[in-house]
Amino acid sequence: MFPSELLTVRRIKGKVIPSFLSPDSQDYTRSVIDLFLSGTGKTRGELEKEIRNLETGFPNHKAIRGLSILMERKSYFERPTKLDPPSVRKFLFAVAHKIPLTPAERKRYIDLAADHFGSPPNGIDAAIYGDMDDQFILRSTDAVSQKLLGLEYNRELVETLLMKSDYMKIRLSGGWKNLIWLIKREGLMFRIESENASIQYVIVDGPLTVHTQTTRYGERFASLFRHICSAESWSIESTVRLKAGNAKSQFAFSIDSASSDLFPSVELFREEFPEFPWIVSRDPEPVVVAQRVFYPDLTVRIGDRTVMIDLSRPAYQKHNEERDVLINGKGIPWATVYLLDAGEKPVKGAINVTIPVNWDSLHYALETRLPGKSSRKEETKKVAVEREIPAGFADRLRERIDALLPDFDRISEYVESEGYNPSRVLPELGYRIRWDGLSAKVSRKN
Amino acid sequence: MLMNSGKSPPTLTHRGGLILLANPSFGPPDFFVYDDRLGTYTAPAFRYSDTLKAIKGLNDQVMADEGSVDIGDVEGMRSYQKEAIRQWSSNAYRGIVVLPTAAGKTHIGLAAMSRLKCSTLVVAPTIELVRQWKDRIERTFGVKVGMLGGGEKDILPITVSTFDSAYLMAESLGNRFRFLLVDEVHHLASEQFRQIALMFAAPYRLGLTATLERPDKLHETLSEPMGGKIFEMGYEELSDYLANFRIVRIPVDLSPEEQAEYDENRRVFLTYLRRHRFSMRGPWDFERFIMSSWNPEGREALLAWRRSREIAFNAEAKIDNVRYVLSRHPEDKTLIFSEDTETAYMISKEFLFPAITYLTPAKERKEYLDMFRSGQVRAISSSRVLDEGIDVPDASVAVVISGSGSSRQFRQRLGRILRPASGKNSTLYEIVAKGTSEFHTSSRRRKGVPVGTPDSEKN
Repeated sequence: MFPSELLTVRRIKGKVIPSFLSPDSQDYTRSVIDLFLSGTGKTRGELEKEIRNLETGFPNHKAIRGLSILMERKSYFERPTKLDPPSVRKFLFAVAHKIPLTPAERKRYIDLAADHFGSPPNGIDAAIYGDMDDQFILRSTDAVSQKLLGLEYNRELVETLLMKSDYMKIRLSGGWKNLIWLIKREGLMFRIESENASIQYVIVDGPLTVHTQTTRYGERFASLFRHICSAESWSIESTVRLKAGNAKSQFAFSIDSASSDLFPSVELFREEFPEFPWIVSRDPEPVVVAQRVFYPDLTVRIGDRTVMIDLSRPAYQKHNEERDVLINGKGIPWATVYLLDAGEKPVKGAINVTIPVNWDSLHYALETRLPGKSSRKEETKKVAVEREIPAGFADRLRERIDALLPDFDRISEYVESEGYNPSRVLPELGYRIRWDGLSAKVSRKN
Repeated sequence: MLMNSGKSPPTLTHRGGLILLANPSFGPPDFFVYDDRLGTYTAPAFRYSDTLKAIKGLNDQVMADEGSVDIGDVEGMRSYQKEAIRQWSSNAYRGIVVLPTAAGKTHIGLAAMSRLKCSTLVVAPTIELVRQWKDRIERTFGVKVGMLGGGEKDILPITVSTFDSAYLMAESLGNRFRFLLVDEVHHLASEQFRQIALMFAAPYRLGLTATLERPDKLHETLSEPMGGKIFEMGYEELSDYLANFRIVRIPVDLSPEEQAEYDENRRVFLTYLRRHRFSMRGPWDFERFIMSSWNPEGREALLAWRRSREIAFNAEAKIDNVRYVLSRHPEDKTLIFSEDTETAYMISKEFLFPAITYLTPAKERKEYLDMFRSGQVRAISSSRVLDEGIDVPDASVAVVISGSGSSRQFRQRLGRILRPASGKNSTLYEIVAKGTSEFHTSSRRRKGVPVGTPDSEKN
């Protein structure tokens, strides 16, 4: 995503169309690539001046700036001094208590620093702010074709526009599962419109959208775009809020796979959804109950049972409880797992996992907490006591526990939601539980 | 008041910056909307206290905080500070207090905290201010204070946060604090930050500012979520409590080369304005000009305007005048303000004292401010980050090398040297390039500032 001031669009009768770089715009990409390739050895400040000059030569100067940002990300810059600039500053500011008002007075302090750091005086001058970005020297730039740079620019332009959007209506030819997973992971809200158990489209917005027009979720919508545009057939409809005169106005924005050639093709869709032997299907069939269609995220095998799982968010609790009663009432094995952000309150009595999901913990929680397993409560307790914390997971547990200190109730709730016994795990992780009457506080052992 | 006669009591919870009302039995208050995706009624979290008033027998599960916090009382309140707290208390502990810089707004905030003794989130715009609040609260009440922002994420019953962090974390922290204290509350009115006010459930709220009114009038949108303006006093009414001050404008000439380049760039800019019939009567006209600069001719005009401004802001003679001011005040703590970071660093390199800009790492900022407070360094140059709120009790000289035409910015910069101290006489110097548009900018920003002074000579 670019900074929003680099957004370039045309506005026509209430619609907004991004000003894409076409294959005919190679003079833009060529000029920026040349500027960086020939800029080796120059400071970022010098390059910045050259970019500013280049901007004046092109009608769409914002495109030059956007392309330069992309090239900067592909470039390696190096600090111009071997000295440690903060140390040099600290030394100079401390010794120059009497402010130098003449060149001779200033030179005396610089010479003192030169002696102290074993550097020539001009090295001291270069080091004072040698850690500022504009002083860094371009050492190398990754190779990139003009075509690819143009396509990357176009994709970022759409993402920048979507940052200003308040909802998205998405159609896809397939691969819904991963997109919906991403939507849930981002804490967005969605409504699925389907026909004959087939998803027609999904409308995505955020919890606050029903109360106020907001672009709060725009960045999260934008993050979905590169997944959407890598599908074979897709479309997006949205409204974006852009400045028009002194106020902001709404414009319609739509784009579809007819424009796919404008963007780089990247296969991203499976990267977040892992494969495990206990996950039977990552793309299960929808369930139809009482003429309503429900879409599980996973089908899992737990012992001898096959259960459909919905990965949901706590905000949907009320809706999910009614839905789960309806589905379970028909004898269909279905369970809801709540995805929590760090620090978010778990849903009482439900299976909760924190994002990013530890799939081992989720498996464990499903094994022990699925409906109908309460007769195994004693067995569960025993397993919880004996279960070891997977390598690498202890640090994440600690991070969350630290955020909840000293609240014993919330820490216990969280530790249990990850499938562990708090009274065993907390001391093992380096915490102390202090009881005061009926309440307890958790602190770190020193 | 709504009554619930059903078996399950109406239940209120908090999720993602909303309050969710289940089993309302009767129609819920107007501000609730039924969200069929969630199967429940929702409202922005700031409606929490209204909901408590409106529904009896509510199963309230909204707050997830410690409840009360153990802090002491605040002593040494001035009469107007007491009055501000009285007005705020009688407005159900909600509202905005408007007082000039250096009038002790932080003290009022601390008094409000001690009055409520509950979980509190203090929100301030810059990391310096956030750290300053943390220090003041810890020193005043002897408690550990959590912090969000500047790379830190430590949430405690009393926590301080930047606006950015509070905005980003409003969804998960919206029910963790009963008292929302917002410093420089005029920033809260922006479209983005207003969501902090909407998404936190805190029933008690206090906003502090020296300059509530915004040119875009967005401050009016704060009335509902923050409780409106409940107390205001100006410089004139508080003169007994502020340091004496004078404002001195030092006009400087551009060098012949600077003047020629300035004139040429100004000509390009003005020619474009005339050709396209732009008149510059205010910020909106200027915005219209910026919007038109997408074409090469407009772009050239915009760049010419920028260059002419740079020349005026960074005139060589200004450095000599800074040298002159520093020599006039060899013992006084001095703040040097510029509009851009480049100038702040240039001054710092020339005179070998620290520069604090938005690029300065948090650790260094703190070190420099500590060095300044202790007297180890006598001056700091800064772009705009020190404009607001930073508590520098004994700075008595300010030099404005360049700035915008905003009266708000000018008053804030002036406020940096007005904190009272025994026998203190403060001076603000404005160094302005003669024969440039900077002169008009200077006159514009002085409007509303109580002391009008003629241009001064060096004597």
